[in-house]
Amino acid sequence: MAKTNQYCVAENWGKGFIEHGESSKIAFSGLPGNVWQVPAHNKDANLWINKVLGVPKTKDEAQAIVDVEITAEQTAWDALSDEEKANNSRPADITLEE
Amino acid sequence: MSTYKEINGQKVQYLASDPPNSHAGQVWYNSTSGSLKFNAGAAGSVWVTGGNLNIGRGDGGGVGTATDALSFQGQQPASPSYANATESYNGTSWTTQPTTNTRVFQLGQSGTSTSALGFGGYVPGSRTTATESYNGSSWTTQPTMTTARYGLGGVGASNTEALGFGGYTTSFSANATESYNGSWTNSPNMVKGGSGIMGTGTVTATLSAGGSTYPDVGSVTASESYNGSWTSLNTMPTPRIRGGMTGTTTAAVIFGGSSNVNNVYDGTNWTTSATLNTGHPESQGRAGSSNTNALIFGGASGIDTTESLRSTGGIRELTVS
Repeated sequence: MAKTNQYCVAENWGKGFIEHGESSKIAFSGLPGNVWQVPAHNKDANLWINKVLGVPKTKDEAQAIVDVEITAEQTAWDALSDEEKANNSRPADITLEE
Repeated sequence: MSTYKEINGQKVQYLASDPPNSHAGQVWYNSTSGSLKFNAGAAGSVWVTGGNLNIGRGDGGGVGTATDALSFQGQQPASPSYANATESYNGTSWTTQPTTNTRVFQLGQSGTSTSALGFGGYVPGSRTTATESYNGSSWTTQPTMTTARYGLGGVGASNTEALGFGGYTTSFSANATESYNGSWTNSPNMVKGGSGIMGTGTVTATLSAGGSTYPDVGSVTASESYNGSWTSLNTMPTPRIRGGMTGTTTAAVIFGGSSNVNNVYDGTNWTTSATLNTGHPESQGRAGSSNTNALIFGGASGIDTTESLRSTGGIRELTVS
């Protein structure tokens, strides 16, 4: 099956990181660990990765980065008091798609 | 306690030059250099943890040596995310120094810990031509670059000479080169170039490697050398972006950024070498004077760790006190 998504790692630098013209052309998903999901086989997405000096990752590499971050967040949530837990839901696992 | 003769079967030799085929553990006296020497085993290198930055940040400038370095600007988690911090390193710990006039990251750099130049980079919303010099006590604004760009490489011995090359100028262009001697002048373009590129050497003998160019997004293994014009060299085994490189055009080491595995260059070929203890993604901050004297610090999302490269093994002098 052809890939529909590609992944890269790049820290969001704020203004100019995702510009209006880019968000109107590309579907972005920001994930834990500075992981970004954008469409595969897409020139605009490739140009954006180049612009932000992103480091391309395979789905499995990206999943591993996300898992580390989610596990850390879940561990932190588990350590909260019952009162604090009542006000925050436990971070859910995220499964990336090819 | 065993003696040297009991272990090795002979006394310490008195030689005019180092023996060509010594073995690990062998000791001799070199009468020419007047020093006691030994074979410490196969030559290699290892990264050793140093003191943490006071303000963890990535994509900043870095100059100097592994024991006398300067870190400036970069991207930090705290607001504002564009840092103007300056810190100096003495081989053990980082000390806060005067801040820069502008807040920039992904910039180029040249010089030493007391004579540094920072140029180009990214400011909120755009790439910049800004240039600042440091004299060991304060930062001063200098003439701007011709071409605004970020993620560029930079080399140079002081705050009065630099070569800036590569870096993101447009979607399809990352090969512009400029030289600085108090003002900026355009120089011949790189062959391929790259954004998030790394550089080392001098303004007249420069080595560049890695980075990202469209359509080879994030996967550049190319390297080039400059001596007034750019020439393509052999490719690296490891793609790399936003890391560090130290050494010369004939003996260099590239490290950090998107890979923890070092590659070393012998003037012809790149090979794989030591591995960092921890990741320094989007670090760019680096210092060092040779392929065995290197420092990497900081990284994305406020990484504040520092590591220095130490050579291991080889022929060494024995100091007895």
